[in-house]
Amino acid sequence: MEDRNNGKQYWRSLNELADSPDFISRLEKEYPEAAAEIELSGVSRRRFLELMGASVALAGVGMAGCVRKPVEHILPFSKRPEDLTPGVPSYFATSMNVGMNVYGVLACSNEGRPTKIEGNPQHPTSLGAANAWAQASVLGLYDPDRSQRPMKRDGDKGLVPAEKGEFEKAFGDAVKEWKKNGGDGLALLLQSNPSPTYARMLDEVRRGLPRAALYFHDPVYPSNRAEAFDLLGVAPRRAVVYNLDKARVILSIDSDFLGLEGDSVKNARQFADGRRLGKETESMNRLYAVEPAFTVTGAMADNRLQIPAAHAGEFLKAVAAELFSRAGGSDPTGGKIKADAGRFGKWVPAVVKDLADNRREALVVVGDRQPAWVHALGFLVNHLLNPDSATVSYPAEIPGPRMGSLKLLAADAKAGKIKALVVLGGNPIYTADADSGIADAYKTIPLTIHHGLYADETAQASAWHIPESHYLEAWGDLQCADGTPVTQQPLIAPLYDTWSGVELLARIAGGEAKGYDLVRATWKARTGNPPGFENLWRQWLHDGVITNVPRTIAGRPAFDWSKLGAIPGLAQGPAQVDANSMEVNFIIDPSVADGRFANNGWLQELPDPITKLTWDNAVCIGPVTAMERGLKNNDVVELRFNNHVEKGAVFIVPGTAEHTVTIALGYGRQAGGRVQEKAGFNAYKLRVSGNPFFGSGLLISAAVDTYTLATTQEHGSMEGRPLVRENTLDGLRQKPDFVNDLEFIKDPSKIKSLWKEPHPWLEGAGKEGGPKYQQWGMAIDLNVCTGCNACAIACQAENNVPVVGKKQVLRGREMHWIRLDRYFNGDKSNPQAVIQPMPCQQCENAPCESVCPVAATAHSPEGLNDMAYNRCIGTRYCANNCPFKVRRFNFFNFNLDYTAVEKMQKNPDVTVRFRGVMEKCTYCVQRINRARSVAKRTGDGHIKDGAVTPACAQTCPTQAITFGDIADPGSRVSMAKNNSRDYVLLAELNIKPRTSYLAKIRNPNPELA
Amino acid sequence: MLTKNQAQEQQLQLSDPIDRRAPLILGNPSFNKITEDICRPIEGKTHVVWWLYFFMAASILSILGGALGHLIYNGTGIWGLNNPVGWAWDITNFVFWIGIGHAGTLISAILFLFRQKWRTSINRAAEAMTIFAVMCALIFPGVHVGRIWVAYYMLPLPNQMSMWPNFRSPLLWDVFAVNIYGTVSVIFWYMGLIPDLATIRDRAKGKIRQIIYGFLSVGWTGSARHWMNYEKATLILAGLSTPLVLSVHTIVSFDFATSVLPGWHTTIFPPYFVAGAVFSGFAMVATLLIVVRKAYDIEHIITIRHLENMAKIMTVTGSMVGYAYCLEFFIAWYSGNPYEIFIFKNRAFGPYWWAYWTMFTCNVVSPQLFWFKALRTSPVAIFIISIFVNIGMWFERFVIIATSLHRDFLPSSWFYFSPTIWDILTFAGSFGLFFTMFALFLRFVPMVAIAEVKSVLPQADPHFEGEMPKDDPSPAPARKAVAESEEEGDLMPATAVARQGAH
Repeated sequence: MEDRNNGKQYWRSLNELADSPDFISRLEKEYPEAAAEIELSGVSRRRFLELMGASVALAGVGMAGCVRKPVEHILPFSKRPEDLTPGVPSYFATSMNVGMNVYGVLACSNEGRPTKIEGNPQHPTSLGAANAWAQASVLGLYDPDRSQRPMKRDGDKGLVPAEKGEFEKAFGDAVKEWKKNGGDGLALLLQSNPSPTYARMLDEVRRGLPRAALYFHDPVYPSNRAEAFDLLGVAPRRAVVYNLDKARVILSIDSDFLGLEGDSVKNARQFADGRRLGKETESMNRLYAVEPAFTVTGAMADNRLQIPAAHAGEFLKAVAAELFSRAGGSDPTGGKIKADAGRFGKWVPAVVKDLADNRREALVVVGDRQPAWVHALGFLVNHLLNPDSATVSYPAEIPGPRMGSLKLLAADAKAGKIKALVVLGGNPIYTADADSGIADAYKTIPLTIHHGLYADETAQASAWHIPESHYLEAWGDLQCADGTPVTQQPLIAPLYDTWSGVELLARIAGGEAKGYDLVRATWKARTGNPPGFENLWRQWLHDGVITNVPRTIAGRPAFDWSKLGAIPGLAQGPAQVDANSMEVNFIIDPSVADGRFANNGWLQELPDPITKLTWDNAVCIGPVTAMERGLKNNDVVELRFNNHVEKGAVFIVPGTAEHTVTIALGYGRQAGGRVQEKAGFNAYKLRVSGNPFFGSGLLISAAVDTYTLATTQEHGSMEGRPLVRENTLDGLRQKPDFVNDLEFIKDPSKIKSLWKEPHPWLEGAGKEGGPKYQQWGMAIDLNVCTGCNACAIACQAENNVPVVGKKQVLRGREMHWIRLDRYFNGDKSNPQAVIQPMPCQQCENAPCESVCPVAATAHSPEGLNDMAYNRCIGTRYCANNCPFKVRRFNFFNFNLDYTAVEKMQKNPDVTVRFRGVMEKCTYCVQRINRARSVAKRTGDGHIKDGAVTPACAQTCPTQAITFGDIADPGSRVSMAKNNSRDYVLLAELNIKPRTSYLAKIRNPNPELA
Repeated sequence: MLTKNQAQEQQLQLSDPIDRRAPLILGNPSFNKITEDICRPIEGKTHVVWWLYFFMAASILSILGGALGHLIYNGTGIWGLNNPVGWAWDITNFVFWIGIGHAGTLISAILFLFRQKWRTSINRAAEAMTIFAVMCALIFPGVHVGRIWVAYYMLPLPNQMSMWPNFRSPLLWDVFAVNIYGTVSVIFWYMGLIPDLATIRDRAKGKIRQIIYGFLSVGWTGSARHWMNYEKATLILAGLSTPLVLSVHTIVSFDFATSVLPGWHTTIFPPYFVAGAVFSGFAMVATLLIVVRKAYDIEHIITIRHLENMAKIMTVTGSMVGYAYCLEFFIAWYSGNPYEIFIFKNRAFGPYWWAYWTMFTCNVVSPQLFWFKALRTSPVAIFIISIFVNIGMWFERFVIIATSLHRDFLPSSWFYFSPTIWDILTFAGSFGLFFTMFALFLRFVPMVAIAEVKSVLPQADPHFEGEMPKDDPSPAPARKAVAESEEEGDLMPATAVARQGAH
């Protein structure tokens, strides 16, 4: 801007300058980029003026001072676009999917840049919340490693960018060829996609190219559950929807329905609603979890049975058998269901009794990892408990992907049946089972085209790679598990030369259309293109949900229980799991999923909810197994499973069943981005088709090497300190204020204060008039927090929290403003896990404030513990004196190397911190200020309860975090703090944290005590 | 015939009629010999060993330069600091160096006020050590901050924001305390130097030398008025410095004592820190002077008696420190505070047990060896033990800082600190600065206070009635005198007695 003054005197010579050859050569020198594009006759008016302005400024500087200053273009809103106020973000409803799971989101757009994802409150499966994947997806949009242009394989050089138009030509020729021969020799490899338009385009491809072969491969699609419908003679297959808010007794069979499986966001909300305790007299649901290793669901369980995954089906069999005998009814399988309930101790009779006693409100959830017959058995148990149960419904039909498997594709390719293969999304070369043979077969296919976000392993093996549009830059639609269709609209034009999946399918089918037209065509057809379609369409886009379209809600499926007896798995006993034949469990990673988010720095650095590992997967084993085998953390062992061998580092995780190993998929990537490099090992190399999620017969070697794993929490015991306070429901009823008994100083009057009490800002709280300023506070209900990590990523996105990398995590320098502390308690061989979210506690008598020599951290009149980054000199004294260790220091300039594209993600309301500065949770002060600005404009400046929500609270699927004005006795946070379970940490220090916790309550079955 | 005791009594009467004690300076040197012995290293040709020492020190100093350059360019992350452990080697080094400085001030101020004449042989070097140690100390709080370029925010400078520093912060008190300490120490030292600088000026042969030392000696003529002013100023500055000896480390200890951290939040810290500072300071003085007295042939000026006195002070302060260590455990148990109990158990038996027991052995056990006269009069033994004390005192600060931070209230944040190569190089480099400054001091400044040492010679006493010693400025007789006196025990300076007896 200062250049302009120097430039002014040259205004008169503008035209002269502009026309002179000297100007052009100067321009070329200074702006090689722009110069490439400038042909003075053919330049747009705006671009011309832009260049002119900059050049004149430059000329001014050059001539006046001979000082080169960077010239940065500004774009004044001389004509402000409609609906855009600079500085005021707008929100657009859209949706994303991971496999068949649909997340309805509101994307926040700052001057055209999507910067933050929130849950869409109108969306039936997000209910206003979003999980970590959805939160982190915005970073994926700006990933500089995303493919940006079509690439082709060039001999030994590997993938190289294709010439402009080169792919289009080659692809056009191929499409013409397919059209001629009906798609002979063409194969499409698909992954699960719940989009109606996608399905429609696929139908078009089928119609237009009837001889094309379709294959399906998706590592995250819960096909076992869908196949269970086939086993029971239900066609078409159905989606299963759990109504957890209606369930009082829930039995989870190796399921992570609160974390990774199905509509986990909706599940978590409904589960929490059945668990939230206002008064101690209220009731809460009871969750039994049967699982081999801790999931967030297992950590929430009231009673948890730790058994190998192979025994979970056996457990369910015993439950079914017990149910038959209790009801005195006949066994529809004809006595095929037999199980040894004795191996589970008191569990089976106790659980069955509880389920049967609450049969109207009982629910059995079978996990995605379990084979189809266990799901079928689950349907049966739910049916036996209550045929008309409201806790489970099957509302939507899902077309079964009657397509060939990856193994079949490999066989067909080797047989020479496939001349051309188009891989639509996914990364089959990486995610393939070890026995699929696809890697070799893939090479034999003459023409392979890979469509995806990254030039990943599959792209590297393909002849062509074409970049895919991110969901935030593509038109689309999706269908939720309950059948609700939702819209997907772009917030930004594609950053690169990309096509969306439907656009590619349309081209394969021989047409060429924009995603926008394709999606509209689908819904015009579905609605019969009524006269008011345009209004409907606008409404849908606005809401993010497609409404007013008649759809059939399917009734109860007609299960044919007699077929159950014929299922082979049912008659077999459980696999032997012992020291000589260990069980291996593969799980979708809570951070990087099947590997699709592996290049997302936020997710790589997000500690696993249970292990707290970052940047790696590990061979997770229980402490007993580790002791027996003499293994310790960081030991690299060789795993041998079905003759496939892979090496991985050991990490000891309490709560892992004996002789079982849990390994997360999605790591050990070889191509497709720099972030994921050297992160973990590839567990897909051990998987085999059939039942790919667990199996016994794993052999583990002794330690052969060491590899350092980076965990953010090294110590899992609370050391007897009353940090997470927990009781049983009965205990709570006997002593509603039991939390106070756990204080070190039980009589608060014995704490002598150095300060004026109550804090002067709080004077008059709760009385007429109240304090002069609103007083912010937070209450976190540990009873419903699942530890799903959504808050951590939401905070990272909202507050421009940098990613530091594995090396820095190993040094203990992760920057998360809210961390989730995980502690284990109870018996070492069968522990319980608790999670405690830890944002800044915003102490009233803050120890950090008094020690800062430069007053960079100070108290605001609203009770916030403010950080003035400009003032901070970085002594780190505040962090040392913080009893909660929530302050984060920029040891390096972690924000140094962002590309221009990455910078677009940053929240403009939050400073990006330089190195040497301390930072921490601010209760999202920028949101408070925005709310205040609105309140001042529209009212008396008093922010109404609920008008401001920090990022963590907003995205919390269980609404565990309540935020508001604690001086207002009617606010939700004040009511939460009035709960008898409310307590603050380290009360004996008299620091008076504004963040308080509501004690965790478990509701265990007394018979299992 | 006099008895042996009567003879000794008579000799003492002759040699020191007021104090009636054995002379502090051995070999019965003349005034001129003192001047010659002390000025020789400054005026003679530079010894090749000095050059070797200087280059080694300067090379290590250049490591400091490199380490600090790397630090300033890249950030504090080059050190091993992490989230719970926000301070480790940086502040350990700061407290270590500040502590070392304390001996010099104690010697020049408190011992002056207590009329401890033996201090005259060692106060100059000890004060120089103080200043260099404060210089080394000041590096660390200066550069350990994240944004060095705005570290001046800590000073109460007028600014457009009308923003004061936070006077509640002990770190700010620290800034004031250390700066005052450094300033007063420099003034005190320089003022004491003026008469000696004037001596060098007067003896100077070259023009440049005359100008520089002339400038530095600020017109000192040695007139009675000058001496009167000088004495007064010394007294005033000694009075000013005396509380500083206690206050600086008290305030440094406030950095920890006023915090809420278990292991830091301890009322015993101020006396404990001061005792530790004097302890480490004397250890450093002993380390340095044992080498210097040998290297520069001034064993007759800095005698075994001086070393023994320092050893005694080390035993006293070491015992005080040991008492504090034990008391901390008692108080932790007695308070019933579970966090406090944990932190002390963790210090002794947690992941940093080795640091704790290194500290304990070096600081509590090793000075107790000085109960043996043979050890406290042996320069080699004192040298070795003083090195141990230096190591132990560094570990004491490390133990206090790092072990308290690495496991505090919430076990979820517990983390281990391990240093990087840059932690080590920065610390090593600070020794480079210290020894480089000390090398320059030895070469350019009289390392012993000439005027003050002369004042404790027997012949300086107005009531001295003996024969003035013969003037023999060559170094050899002094060495012989020391050797002889050591044979007979230093209470009876044999040569002096014999010579005077003969007279």
